[in-house]
Amino acid sequence: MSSVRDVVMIGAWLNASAFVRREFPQTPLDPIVAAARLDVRTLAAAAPTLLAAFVVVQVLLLVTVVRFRARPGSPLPAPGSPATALWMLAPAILIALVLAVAPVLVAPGRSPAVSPSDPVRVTAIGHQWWWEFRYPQLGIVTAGEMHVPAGRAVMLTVEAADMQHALWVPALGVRRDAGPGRSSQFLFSADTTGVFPGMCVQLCGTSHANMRMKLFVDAPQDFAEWASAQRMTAAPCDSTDESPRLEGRAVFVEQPCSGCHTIAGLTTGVIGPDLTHFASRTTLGGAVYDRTDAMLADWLRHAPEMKPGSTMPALKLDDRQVRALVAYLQSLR
Amino acid sequence: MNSTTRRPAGTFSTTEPRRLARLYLTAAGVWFVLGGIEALALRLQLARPGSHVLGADLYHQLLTMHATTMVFLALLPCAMAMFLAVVPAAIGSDRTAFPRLGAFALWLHISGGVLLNLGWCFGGSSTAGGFGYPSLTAITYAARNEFELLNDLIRVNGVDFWATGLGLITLSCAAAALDALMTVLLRRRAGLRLAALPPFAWTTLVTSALALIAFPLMLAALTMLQFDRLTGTHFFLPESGVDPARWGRLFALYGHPQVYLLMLPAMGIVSEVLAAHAGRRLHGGGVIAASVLLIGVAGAAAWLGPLLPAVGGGVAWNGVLAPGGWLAALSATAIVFSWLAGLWGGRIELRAAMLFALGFVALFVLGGLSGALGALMPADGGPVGTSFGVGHLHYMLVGGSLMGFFAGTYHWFPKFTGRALDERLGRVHFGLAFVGVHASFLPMLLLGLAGMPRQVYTYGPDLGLAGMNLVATLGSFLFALATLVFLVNVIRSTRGGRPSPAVPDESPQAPGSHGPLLAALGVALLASGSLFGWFMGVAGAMLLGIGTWRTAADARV
Repeated sequence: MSSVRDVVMIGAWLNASAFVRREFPQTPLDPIVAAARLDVRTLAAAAPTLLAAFVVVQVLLLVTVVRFRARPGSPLPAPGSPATALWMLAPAILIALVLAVAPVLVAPGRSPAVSPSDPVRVTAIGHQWWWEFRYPQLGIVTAGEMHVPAGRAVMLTVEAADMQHALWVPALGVRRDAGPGRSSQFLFSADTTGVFPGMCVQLCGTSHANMRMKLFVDAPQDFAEWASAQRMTAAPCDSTDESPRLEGRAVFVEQPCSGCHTIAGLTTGVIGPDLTHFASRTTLGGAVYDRTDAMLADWLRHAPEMKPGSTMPALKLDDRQVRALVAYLQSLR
Repeated sequence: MNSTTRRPAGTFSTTEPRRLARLYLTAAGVWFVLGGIEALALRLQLARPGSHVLGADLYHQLLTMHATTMVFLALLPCAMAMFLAVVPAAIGSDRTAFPRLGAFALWLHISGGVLLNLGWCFGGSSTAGGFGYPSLTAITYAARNEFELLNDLIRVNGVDFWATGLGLITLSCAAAALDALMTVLLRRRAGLRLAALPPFAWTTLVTSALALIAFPLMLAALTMLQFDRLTGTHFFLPESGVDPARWGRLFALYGHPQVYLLMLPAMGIVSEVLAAHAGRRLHGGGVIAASVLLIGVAGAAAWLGPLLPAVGGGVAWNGVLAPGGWLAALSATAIVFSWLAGLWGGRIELRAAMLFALGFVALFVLGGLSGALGALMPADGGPVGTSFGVGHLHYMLVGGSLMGFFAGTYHWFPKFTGRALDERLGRVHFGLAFVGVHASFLPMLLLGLAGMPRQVYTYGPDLGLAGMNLVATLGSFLFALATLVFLVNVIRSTRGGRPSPAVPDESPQAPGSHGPLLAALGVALLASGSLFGWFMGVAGAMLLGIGTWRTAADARV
């Protein structure tokens, strides 16, 4: 059964964290940030001690019960002597000492602090139920997916617009609560490229479980390309070609979309995510669904079903309008 | 009217501890089944990723109610039941210190439980989690789920039922704790020193003292919450700029003692059951008593630990802030090893009660060690606050407290009913339950390490979490089956079980009073006046007055 395999996988993580990440992409046990890696190693060092303590007690219990269970003709017990208590207490004290001392012995101190000079600044803002990402210096606004360059200092500020949320990105070893008027900051430098999931971990309403995000750690070159592409405004629609796109743009402006969503140069809604570069992302709906044409069409028609409690209504569009809108949105790279 | 012509007390007017104990235990059983059904529903939804068994909103309601029901309506009254059935007799008294207060507490507890669950009938229960997150209890958010009665004269919401019902329950628990504390302090027979108390009486002493500093805080917090929701004050409302951590801190002042409140009675029971079945007096009783006291102190002092806002820090924070936790862990270790020392060289009868007591030891140790692992994790990263925490707390509460209460129920069933529970069914119950606990909660620990958060109604299919979730669901059904075996055992044994030889007859029926019941109903109606209207409150006040007068009148005779 796959769950047995899962258990074995977890059990082998001490030497095989790469395995763990492959099987469990959201695991906090294989971080890409030095400080978090140190914390995990502390846990890894302490875990065998705790496991040993557990085994010792269970074995003692089992041996005691088996050896001294009542059998016909077994003698009545003698009153216990004080020596027995001491003998049993000594391992207790020993185990307690080990538990207390082990993490101090094992952790070689905090890793050198990430130099805060000229970090890439990104602000994550929690909304019910999606994450907005703003890069104030770079002039970028996006949602659902956050890009950072590998090997460079990044200052992440976590805020929330409407209520208590908390951002958890296991690969970074960061969990930050945020609420209206309260922000917190996290300075880090990621050393591995890749895509890492994260989500909100503060119960915030009906679709709390659908408030996800993806962290993209790019090579510095790729990050620069991404950033410059994000800064450009939406590609203009030629009236000579791509009529579904043009039609889609018209639908977008006429339908309620424009009231909630911003597309730079076209509309200025502030309730929903910025869609200027919608097609540069891999997901939609709060990083829950893949950004395929079929998913997008479903989303446009049935958003409240796909995301319970969602503010986005089920749009009353006919098939042609949906196709046009899909064509338009999927062109917004 | 003189006492010789009065009828003996019936169910609704009794103040006799054993009968009150039976009522507590029966109520606890009913609520346990309800809370268990809620848990099974949750697990069904989580068995597969992207499942649609339950809607998101219903899931959050079940989540909230499962937590509150199990802790307040199933576990706590079990502890009260054990106390009432065992401790007064054990210290040489035929009654508790405040029998009428005890009866009042019982009826208030039942009323509170009914009010808490009334939300189900009125448009849905609270979705704010057992913790009552302030964002979600705030008016503007919860207003969406209001239910209107009598043409908008009454507007109630699941959170109102939750907060008011829970308030009644905490008041009841505080009253019961006062009764328990005073019983142990004042009603001991001549010559019984505190240091010579039997283990369960000693843990009752420490538990009730801890309860008296915890429950009033919770009651205060809930009262403030309802004032916010109903009258426009600004204790917790996030939109008025209040730090949302304020609710968390107040809740934690109650919440951390709470977990020790649930463990200590079970430890006392286990101490007695182990000694009784090992054929000799408890070994190292002084060490155990001292450790229990230290755990009580740790419970009161450890509120710093788990609920600081996550502002960063890593392992260093835990080293500084978890001394209370370490104190408790050390004390618990000493207790476990004292138990082992007591068993070593004894003559161990493996009856059902003993199996549960041994199961407690095994599972409690696992729970405690997972807690130690959790304490080593930085508060701002790692698996804390994920499914790992859920697994840990269930090991402690189900593998720990509940196992202890089962041990007590098997061991002391004759004190409740005059008959013994069937041994064979008891062993089957234990086997299924022990495996069920591991099958349900070990996957939760592992899921936390694999990155599954808590309080989510579903999860993505590409995170590798499906297998362990399915195992946990199957485990929960196994545990439910075990509980079914237990219930069958209880029902059969209550009627036709083996009469237990050495149980003394219940004391001649002392004349009771309907006063405490009326007073409790009065308080409940008074509180629900905030939900249903002033007329309910007035009726409640009148009933409270009548009940108090009746209690006094019946006492004078």
